[in-house]
Amino acid sequence: MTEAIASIKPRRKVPVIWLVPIVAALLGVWLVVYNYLNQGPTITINFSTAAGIQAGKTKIKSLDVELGVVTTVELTKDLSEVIVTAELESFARPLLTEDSQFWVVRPRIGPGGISGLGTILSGGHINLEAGTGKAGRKKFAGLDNPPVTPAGTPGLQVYLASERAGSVNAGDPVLFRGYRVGSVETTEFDASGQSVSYGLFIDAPYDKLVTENTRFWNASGITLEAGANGVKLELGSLQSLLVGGVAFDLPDGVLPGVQVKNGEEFALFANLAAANRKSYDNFIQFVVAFDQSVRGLRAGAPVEYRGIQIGTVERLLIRELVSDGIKGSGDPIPVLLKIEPARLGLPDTAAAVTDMQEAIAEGVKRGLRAKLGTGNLLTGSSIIDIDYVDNAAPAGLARIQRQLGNLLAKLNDLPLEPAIANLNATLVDLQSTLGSVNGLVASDATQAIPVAINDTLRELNATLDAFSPDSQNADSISRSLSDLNQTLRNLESLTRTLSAKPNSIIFAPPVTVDPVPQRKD
Amino acid sequence: MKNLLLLFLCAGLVACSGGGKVPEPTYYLLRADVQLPVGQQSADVSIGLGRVAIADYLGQNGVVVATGAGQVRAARQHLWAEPLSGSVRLYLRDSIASRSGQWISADSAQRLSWQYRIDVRIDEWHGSLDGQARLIAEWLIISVADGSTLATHRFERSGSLQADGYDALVAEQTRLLDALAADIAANLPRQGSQAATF
Repeated sequence: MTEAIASIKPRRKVPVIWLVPIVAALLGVWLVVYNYLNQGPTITINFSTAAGIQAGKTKIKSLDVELGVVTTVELTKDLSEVIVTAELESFARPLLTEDSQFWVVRPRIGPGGISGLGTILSGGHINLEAGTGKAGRKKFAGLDNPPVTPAGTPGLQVYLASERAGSVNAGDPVLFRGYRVGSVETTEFDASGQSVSYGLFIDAPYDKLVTENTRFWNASGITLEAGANGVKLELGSLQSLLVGGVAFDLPDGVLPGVQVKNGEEFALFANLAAANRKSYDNFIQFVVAFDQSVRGLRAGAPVEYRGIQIGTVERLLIRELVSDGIKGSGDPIPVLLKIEPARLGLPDTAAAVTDMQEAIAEGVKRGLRAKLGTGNLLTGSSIIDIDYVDNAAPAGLARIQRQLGNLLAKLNDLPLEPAIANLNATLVDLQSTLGSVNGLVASDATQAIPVAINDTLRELNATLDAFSPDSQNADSISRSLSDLNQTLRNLESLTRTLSAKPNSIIFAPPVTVDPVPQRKD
Repeated sequence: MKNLLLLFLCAGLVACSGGGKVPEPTYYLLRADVQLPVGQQSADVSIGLGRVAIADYLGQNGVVVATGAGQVRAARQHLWAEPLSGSVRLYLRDSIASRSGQWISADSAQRLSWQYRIDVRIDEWHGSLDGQARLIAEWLIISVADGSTLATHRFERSGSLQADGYDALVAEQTRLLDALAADIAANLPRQGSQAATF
């Protein structure tokens, strides 16, 4: 019998079973690392209100691609804003640039149309508009309204200043000769400057059209201007009629000048005519006094020299007139004029102003006076006409007296005696004509006219009798109408049957048997 | 093959459309059963039948039957042979002439020779399912010369049907028309006399 010999192997230092927790730990580490590496950024956005935003539901989207979801909605400590925290997917990281914009998409009706209708059913979401700046930003300020111009759009930003807020709103088009080249982005009222500031964005490549001499005007709707030069009606394009807008162009005969840079400020003119109105740097101011009614004379009314405009009315100096107190002495009304030598083709320089001033001073000595003239009969607007007067008398009653004198002189010069002789001859002719008419009326033929008229009336009566209500014709018409009524009634019955059962035109409807009247026993 | 299918389809349609059998309608001609003198009439006709106005609901082909309170129905298989506006006028003309013994003109061409004109308005003239026929009318006799109204009467009468059915209803309606004609005839002025009796 052989003895079994046990083979002895040295014991392993680490049991195999330990491999299991080690692998599990490695897996855990790998999962943690993987999760960390794939975790997207967490961002905060400040909004003025949380309308339409719900934690856990509201999504962050860009171009309708879901990027993440809102995790919390909290109020700031001073309760002035809402802080929205959102977790985004990792692939959204490059979109979080310095100039990225966020806004809540909800149904909106605005000048640019209706938007966000899809959110009525799906609920609102926060839209992310990625910019072009450096990525990595985590805190953003949300916009109350969608940006008119997406961030990073090539173009030009300019500002317009206006003393009055017109019908220009954010989102309105900016037009160049009727073509949309940009949008109004912002409207702000500057309380310190007492003016309204509009921010405009002109899309590239149209931004090159805006130069230092460009003028902007309000192109909203209809402009009806009634002035001394007549009534002017200006209509914008259909779009500007509906939603308003701002237009720009160069005034006639003005060179474009150099192209402007971002942030340039321009004045916003009330309309095209105001924008085209030339402005002159050099002018002289005169005061003229009228001791007559200045009805219809307004600031801006033309001042003309023999029909050529040389300036405008600056204003009526009413304040200055009453500043000394009302004396009841019938003082003339002072009017301030602005004479611009450049309107006469002279250079727009101070030297030309001096020359003009001397010429006018000399003219006044020789009888150059200002008169009120009628600019427009329809609107009753007045203009100021400057011209030489023979004996430089002041305007008013003296002038009326002179005109009356002229009228009487003209009346004296009229050839009245030959006219009266002609009138006598005409009266004799008229008398003979009346005699002929008398004879005509007394003639037998004329006398017979009433009889003939009587006969005609009798025939007319007989004819009308034939159409009287109890006549045969009326009977016939009535019968025809009755037939027509019957036909229409049948047609109505057919229509009713067809509407109840459209296929009855092919398939006969079920026969309805007339109800039988039963004899009363 | 296609043609055969079309043929079957047409045959099917024809078969379907001929589903219900529609009973033949019965037409009633409204004429007065009276004897009037035949031959040339005197040109000097003094009485004329003017307007005979019929309520709108009677202006349909079917004989109208009241089926309930304020409900009427025009029969579909029992029809008048001609529009009632013409036939009622003719009927009254003949019936009044027969009862008054005077020639009544219904020809408006002779209206200039009329001394008196009869105008009639029929407001109701229908039967009912419970065996009644009803006539409500208003008539007036006018002196053509001065346009004055000599007589104006409101006529309202009902009659019971003698048998079941539309034949009996039409017969009863005709009897009511006769009664109306008799009422008018009794009030007509005699020819050659003035209407002093009104």
